[in-house]
Amino acid sequence: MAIEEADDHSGEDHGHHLPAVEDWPKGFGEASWWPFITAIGAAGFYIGASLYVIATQTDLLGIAVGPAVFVASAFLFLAGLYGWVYHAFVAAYWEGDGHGRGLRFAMVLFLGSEVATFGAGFIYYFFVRTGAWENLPELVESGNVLSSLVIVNTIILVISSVTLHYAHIALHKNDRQKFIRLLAATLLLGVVFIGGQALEYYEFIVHEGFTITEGAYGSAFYGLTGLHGLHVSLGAVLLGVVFVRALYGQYDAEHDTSVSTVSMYWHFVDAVWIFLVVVLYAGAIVLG
Amino acid sequence: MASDSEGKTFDRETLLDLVVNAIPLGIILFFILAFALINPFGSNPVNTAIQFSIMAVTGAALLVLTYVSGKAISEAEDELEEKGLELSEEAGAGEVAEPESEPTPETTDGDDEPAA
Amino acid sequence: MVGEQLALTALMGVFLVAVAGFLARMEDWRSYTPLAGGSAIGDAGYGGHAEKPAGIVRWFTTVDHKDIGILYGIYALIAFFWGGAAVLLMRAELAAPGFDIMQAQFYNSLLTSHGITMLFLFGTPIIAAFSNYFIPLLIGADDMAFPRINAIAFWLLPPGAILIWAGFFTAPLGLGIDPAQTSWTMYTPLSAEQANPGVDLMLLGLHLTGVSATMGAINFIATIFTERGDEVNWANLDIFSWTILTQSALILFAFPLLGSALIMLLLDRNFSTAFFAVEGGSPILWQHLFWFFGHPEVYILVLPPMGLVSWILPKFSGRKLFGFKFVVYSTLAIGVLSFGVWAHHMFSTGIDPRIRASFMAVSLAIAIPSAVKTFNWITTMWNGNLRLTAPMLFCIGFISNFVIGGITGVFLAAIPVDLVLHDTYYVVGHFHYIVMGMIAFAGMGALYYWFPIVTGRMYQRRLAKMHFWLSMIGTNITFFAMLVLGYLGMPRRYATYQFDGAIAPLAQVTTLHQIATVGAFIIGFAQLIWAWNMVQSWYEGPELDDADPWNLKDDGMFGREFQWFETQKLAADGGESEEVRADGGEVETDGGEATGRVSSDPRSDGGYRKAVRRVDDE
Ligand code: HEM
Ligand SMILES: [Cu+2]
Repeated sequence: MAIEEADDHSGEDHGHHLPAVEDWPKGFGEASWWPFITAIGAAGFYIGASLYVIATQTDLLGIAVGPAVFVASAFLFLAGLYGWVYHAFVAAYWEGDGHGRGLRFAMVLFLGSEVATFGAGFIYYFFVRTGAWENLPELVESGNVLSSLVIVNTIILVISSVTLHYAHIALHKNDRQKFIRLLAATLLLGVVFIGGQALEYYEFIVHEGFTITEGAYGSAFYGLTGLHGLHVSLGAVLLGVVFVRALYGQYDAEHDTSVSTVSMYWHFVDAVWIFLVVVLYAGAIVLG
Repeated sequence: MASDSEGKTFDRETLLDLVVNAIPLGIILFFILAFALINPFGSNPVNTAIQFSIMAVTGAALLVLTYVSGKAISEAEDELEEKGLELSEEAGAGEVAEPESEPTPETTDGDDEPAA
Repeated sequence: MVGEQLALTALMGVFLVAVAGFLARMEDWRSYTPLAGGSAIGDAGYGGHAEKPAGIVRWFTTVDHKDIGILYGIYALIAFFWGGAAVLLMRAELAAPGFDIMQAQFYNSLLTSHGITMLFLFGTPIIAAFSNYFIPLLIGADDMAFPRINAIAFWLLPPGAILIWAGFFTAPLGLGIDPAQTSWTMYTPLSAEQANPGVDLMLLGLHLTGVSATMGAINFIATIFTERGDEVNWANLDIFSWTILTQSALILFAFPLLGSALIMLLLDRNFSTAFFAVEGGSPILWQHLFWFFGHPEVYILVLPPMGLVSWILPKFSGRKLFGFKFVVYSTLAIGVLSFGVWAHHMFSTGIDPRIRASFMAVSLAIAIPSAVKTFNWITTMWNGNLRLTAPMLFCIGFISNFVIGGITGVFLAAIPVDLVLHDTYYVVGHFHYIVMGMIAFAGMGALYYWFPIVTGRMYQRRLAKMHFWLSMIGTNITFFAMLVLGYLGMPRRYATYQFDGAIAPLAQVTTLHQIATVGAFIIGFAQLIWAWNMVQSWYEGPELDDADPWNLKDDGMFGREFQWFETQKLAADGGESEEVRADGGEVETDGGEATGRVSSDPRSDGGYRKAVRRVDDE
C-alpha cells in the first residue's frame, strides 16, 4: 500500500489540505475520477429502484432488472468510495492530522441531518399514536412486540457502545492490543444485533403475520426499525473498515480521526435505538 | 480575547447591533401575552400547549442563536483589534484606502458601451 | 412496437457516445474552457505545468471548486431554460379561456415540472454555483473543506434531473410512463394514488437531489468554520458567506426531512403502507412534513441572493453596506424563525385555530428581519455614489421586487386575509415576485458582476441593460397581473378558466391573463438576449486590461475575490507560469493566503496590454 510513500507533498501544507497527489488519473494533482464514479454508483441505486418500480407497474421490464442494476451499482459505488476515501484521506495519512478537525465536525453535521431523517418517521408515529390509534395488530394488543429478544438486543447494542468507547480510550493510551480486542468485540456485538433484528423480522412476518402493510402501526414499525437497521448495517461496515485498518496498524493516539468519527456515528445510532424502543415498542403497549 | 468577561463582550455597540433581533422577539412576546389574555377558542390541554410552545420554542431558539452569534462576533472583533487588522469585509487589504470625503450624491451611468 | 423503440433508443445511445467521443478528441477543446485560450490569463499559465487533464475529461474529474462552480452554473441554466420553456407553454395555453393548445393533463405536467425544476434544479444549483466558486476565495481558503465530496454532490444532480424529467421523455413512446401531475407540493392523496411510474421516478430524482444538497451544505458549513484564512474571522466574514452558512444550516435540517417524507410517499405508492393514508398518518401529515421542509426551503432559496445583493450593491454605491451587523443578525434570525412558520401554508386546512394563530404570530415576526434588510439596502444607496451598471440595476430591481413580494407575503400571513386569497393567483404573484423578482434577479446580477473573473472578459453592456429592463418590465407586468387576478378570485393551478361568471368576471380575468402572458414572453425574450450575450462575450468579448473592471479600488471596495483575481492575472501576465497551476488554479507558493492581500508585486501599478477601456473610462 502506498501509505508510506505519500510524504514529500506536505511541504506547503498550512492546515489546508490539497487533494491527494497520487490519484487516478495519475499526474493530475487536482483531478480524480473517483467522485464521478461514486456519484454514478449512488445514482445507480435510484435508477435500479426506478426500474423496479417500472417493472411492477408496467410490463416493460423483467422484475429482476431493477435489483440487478441496484446490485451492480453497489459495486460501482463501493469501488468509487474506496478510491475516493483512499486517495483523499488514507494516502496522505501520515502527513499530519490536518483532516481531523474538519472530518469530526462534518460527522457532527451529518448526525444533525440524521436527526431530521429519523425525525420525519417519528413525527409520523406520534401522529398515529395521538390520532388514528386503532385497528392495532395482534402483537400490539397482546403486548408481545416488546419481546425478550428486543430487550436482549438493546442490551447488546448498549454494551457495544461501551466497548467502543473503551477501545478508543485504549487507543489513546496506546494500548494496541486492548484497542483491537475491544474493537473486535464491538463489531461482533453489532453483527449479533443485526442478526437479532433479522430474527425478529422473521418471527413477526412469518409466524405472526405482521407485515409492513399491517395498517398504521406496521408502517411505523417497519419504517423506523428498517431505517435504523440500515444505519446499524452501515455502522457495522464502517466498524469493519476501521477494524481492518487497525489490524494494519494505521491508528495511534494521534491518528484516530476515523475511530472517533465512526464511534460518534455508532453512539448516535445506539441512542436512536433506545429512543425507538421506548416510544415504538414500549410506547405502543403502555397506556394502550 | 476569548477570555473577555461577559460585561466586556456585550458592550454597548454589540447590544445596539442585537436590537435588530429584539424586535421579532418582542412581536412574539406580544402575541404570547395577547393569546394568553384573549382566548376566543377556549382551552384544550394539548392544543393550547402546542399553541404556546410554537411561539416559545421559536422565540427561545432565536434568543439563543442571537446570544451565541453576538458573543462569537464580538469576541472575534476583539481578536482582530488585538491583531490590528481591518474590520471590514474587504479586509486583508489593509492598504486599501477608505473613501475619505463624503461621497457626492450623484448618479453616474458608469456602464456605457466602450467606444470602438 | 416496443422492439422498434428499443432499437431506436440504442441507436441514439450509440450516437451520443460517438458525439461525446468526438468532442473529447477535439484538439482545441481547452480553448472552450474559461480563462483559457485568448483570455488575459490564459496562455502563460499553461507552461509545462498544466496539471488538469485535457478535454472533456477535465470536467468529469475536476475537484476544483471553481470548475465545480461552473458546472453547477451550467446545470442550473439548462434547468432554467427547461422550466422557462414549460411555463411559456402554460402561459400560451392561458392566453384564452378554453383548452386551445393542450389538454389539462399536459398542462398539469408542465405545471409540476416548472415548479420542481425552478426550485430544485435551478434555484438551489445556481446558488451553489456562486458559493462554490466564490466562498473559498472570499474566506481565503484553498478550496472547499472536502473537494471530492463537492464533486460527488454535483455529479448526483444530472441523474436526479433525468429522473425528474423522465416522464417527458418516455411519454411520447407510449410506454405508460408519463410525467407527474402532482404539482410541486405533491399533496397526498393525489400523489399517493396517481398510478404512473413517472411519479415514482420524480420522487426518486428529488430524493437524489436532496442528498446532493445535504452533502453540499455539510461541506459549506465545514468550509466556513474550518478553512477560513488567518485574517478572516467571525467579525469580518463577508455577508455572502454568512448567508450561505445560514442557508446550509437550513438545508441540513430541511432536506433530510423531505427525503424521509419522499421515501414514505414512495412506500405508500408501492408497498401499500399507511403513512399518508386516512387510516394512518392522514394526508395532513404530508402537508406538515412538506411545509416543515417547504418554508425553510423558500429561505434556503432567498437568503443567498440577499447575501449576493448585500455584497454587490455597496460596490456600486461607493460605500459600505449600511448596518452590516444588522444584516448578519437578521439573516440568522430568519434562519431560526423559518422553522416556526410552516403552517401558514395550511391556514385553510382546518387545523386547530389556536395553533393556527401562533403560526400567524411567528410569520408576522419573520417579516421584520426581512424588512430590516430592505432598509439597510436602501440606506446603503442613500447619498451614495451610484453607478448603474448591469449588476447594480439587477440589485435595485431585486429590492423593488422584494418590496412587493415581501409585503404581499405579510398580508398572506394574516389568517383572515389568507382565507380569502389562499389558492388564488395572488399567492402565485406573491412568490413569483420573490423567486423570479429576487432570486433570478440576484443570480443575473451576480453573473454579470463576476463574469469578468470567470471568463477574463467583459460582457456587452448594452445587451445587459436591455436584458435588465425587459426582465424588470416583464416581471412586473406578469406578476402584478397575477396579484390582481387573485383579488378577482381566479384560482391557481387551472388549465382553463371557462367558469361561471359568479366566480369571477370572465372578461377582466381573460384580459389579465393575456397581460400576464405577454409579460411572460417579454421575460422569455429577455433571457434569450442574455443567453446570446453570455455565449458571445465568453468567446469574443473584450479582454480585461486589469483586474479591476468595476473600478472598485477607487472606492476602497476591492473585494477579496477580485484581489485573488489580481494575483492570478499578475502571475499570468508576468510570465511567472510556474506559479500558476492549471488555468486559474491556486498560486502554489503562498496558497490561499495570497487571496487576502493585494500583491505587492511592482507590476501591479500597470504594465498591461491595454485591451479595453475600463468600465468607467470616458
Ligand atoms: C416576508 C416574509 C414572507 C411571508 C410573511 C410569507 C407568507 C406566505 C404565506 C402566508 C403563504 C401562503 C399563501 C397561501 O398558500 O395561502 C406564502 C406562500 C408562498 N411563499 Fe411566502 N412569505 C414570505 C416570504 C417568502 C419568500 C422570501 C419566499 C421565497 C423565496 C416565499 C415563497 C413562497 C412560496 C413559494 C409560496 C407558495 C407555496 C405554494 O403554495 O405553492 N415567501 N407566503
Ligand atoms: Cu412560507
